[in-house]
Amino acid sequence: MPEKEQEQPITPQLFDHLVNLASLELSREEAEYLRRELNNQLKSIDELEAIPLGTETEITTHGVPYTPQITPEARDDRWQACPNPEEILAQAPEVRDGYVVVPDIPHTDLD
Amino acid sequence: MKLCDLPAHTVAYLVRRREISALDTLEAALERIAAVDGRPGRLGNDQNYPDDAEKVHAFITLTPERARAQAEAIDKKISQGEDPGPLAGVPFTVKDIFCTHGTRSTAGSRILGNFVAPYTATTVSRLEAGGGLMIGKVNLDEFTYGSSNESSAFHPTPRNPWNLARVPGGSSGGSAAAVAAGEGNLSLGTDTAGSIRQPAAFCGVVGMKPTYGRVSRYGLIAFGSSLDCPGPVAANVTDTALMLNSIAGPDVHDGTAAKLEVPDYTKDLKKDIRGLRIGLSPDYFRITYFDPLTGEFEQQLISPEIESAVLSAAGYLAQMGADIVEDIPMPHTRYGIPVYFVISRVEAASNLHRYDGVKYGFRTPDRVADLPEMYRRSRAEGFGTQPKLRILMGMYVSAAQYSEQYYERALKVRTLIRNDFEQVFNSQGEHRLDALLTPTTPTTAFSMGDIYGDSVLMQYADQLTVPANLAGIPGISLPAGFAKDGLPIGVQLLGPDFSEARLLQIGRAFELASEGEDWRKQRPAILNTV
Repeated sequence: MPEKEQEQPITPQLFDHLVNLASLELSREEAEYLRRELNNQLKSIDELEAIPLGTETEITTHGVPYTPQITPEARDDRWQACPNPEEILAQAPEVRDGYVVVPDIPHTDLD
Repeated sequence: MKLCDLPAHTVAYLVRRREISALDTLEAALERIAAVDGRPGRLGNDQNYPDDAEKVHAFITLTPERARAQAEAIDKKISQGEDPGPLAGVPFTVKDIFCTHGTRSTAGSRILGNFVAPYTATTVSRLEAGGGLMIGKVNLDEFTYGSSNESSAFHPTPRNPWNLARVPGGSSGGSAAAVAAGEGNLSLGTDTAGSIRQPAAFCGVVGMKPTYGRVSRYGLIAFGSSLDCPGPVAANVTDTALMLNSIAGPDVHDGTAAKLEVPDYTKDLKKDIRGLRIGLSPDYFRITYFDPLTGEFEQQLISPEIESAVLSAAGYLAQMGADIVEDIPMPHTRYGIPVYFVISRVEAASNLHRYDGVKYGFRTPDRVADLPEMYRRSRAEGFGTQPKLRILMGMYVSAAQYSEQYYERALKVRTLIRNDFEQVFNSQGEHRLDALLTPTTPTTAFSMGDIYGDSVLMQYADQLTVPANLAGIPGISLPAGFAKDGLPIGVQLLGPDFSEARLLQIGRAFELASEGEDWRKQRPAILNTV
């Protein structure tokens, strides 16, 4: 393994771990391209580290502040029948007797 | 002039007065599509034909039957003396990122390539309720991840009607290309980092990103949930206002749709702009980008032609009585892209976990041993490269051990970007701006294939538009002339929260002031063939 790869923040090993967590499978070319792009983007993101941030700087999760004046009230939590369940089921790749069918779910022991 | 080249507000006026019928306007739009669009984008169309380079390819799905039924209903209403709505008989297109009941809603991705939505997005319902005719779903970058439309899984991808060798921009590239080519007067787009404004600038049309929360996201296939804004793409400011009237407002189905009344956005379009304060910031006349080849940050001034188009627009606005205020400091503009790299990836990864081949969308046709293998194969085959990149990056920067370094830091820098705007728009502050006037893009439309694949450079095309998404504020891109290469230039107005009416008013003043200019009379090259 060339030393350079191990110096990058996202090493091939870490990359494989991410791919596994993301439930993806990649061809070798795709993996090489994606890992290179990820490391390039991280260099760009690292620019943020140079910005002085006081402890008083708050986070912004939405740009627009949701004041009580503009925030809609939560609607009543009331059950409503779905008007077209058959259309929704029709989207499933495999259905039997109104149930969505999936391949075998293997037994796994949790750590 | 053909019906499909008239402004939307003129079409609606004529239909309402029974001078033309909704069916006439529909037929004109379909005829135009048949003449200029070529074959629609399809999965697996990987082979290029020479003819493809001569057409626009804005569409993925045409919905003429739906539009015809709607047109007949409009004409019937009119004949019975009922109000057909403010968009009566206006053909419009919808970016294929919105769910529309009974039609494919693909997000430009193989993973949703066969998905037929069981419900309709609020925005689309409102346009149809207003009398509009939905004529089809237009192409986009896969899941909106791109600035050129080249990442769509549906090929051929759209081309720029002004020069078919150039991209239309993205991700609402199909929307902007369709409006520019007269394939429907209006289009519903979305803007997460500039995805309405950048293609509008590239295609010489108007595109507005409303304030976050001004327009419901119900039925919009999510990318960055704290950033996504549906908005209008139209040929002119009046049509943009008319469309925003229909789509804006609270929605019981979207808890982030602001509880605020919708003004009539067409009302103030003729009001003069005397005394309005419009700022110019040097921080919007250069871009800073990371060069992966040198590993250094490079700074580049925007193209001189674009700079002079912005200054010329400022001149027109000054003629109309606005006060132009120079040297407005917007010091955190350059951080917009790195902040966006983090926040949008985390939100995208979270939103993309739902595609697993179980309940809807693509499932691998191969035999698999078990459920985890089915997930992996379906996602590997269903997603293109850009979604995979975003999922992996989002997972990395939000992982427990890196979250403080990346995600939380990005959310704090987002606050600084928001503060830049709050300071200059503060009515008691030093600058007291009503709007900021900037270029929309650092360059005109790039060539097909030029920077696609380099996700870093492509993302920097959004540097001047992304701050508005991070801050939540509204922005509009307006056509402002042409570069020497014959391609359109867009200028952008940014304003405080919920100031859409003011931005439209300034935009209309600019249109009126520059009405006599020769460049206003230019038409896209593709229309020379019809």
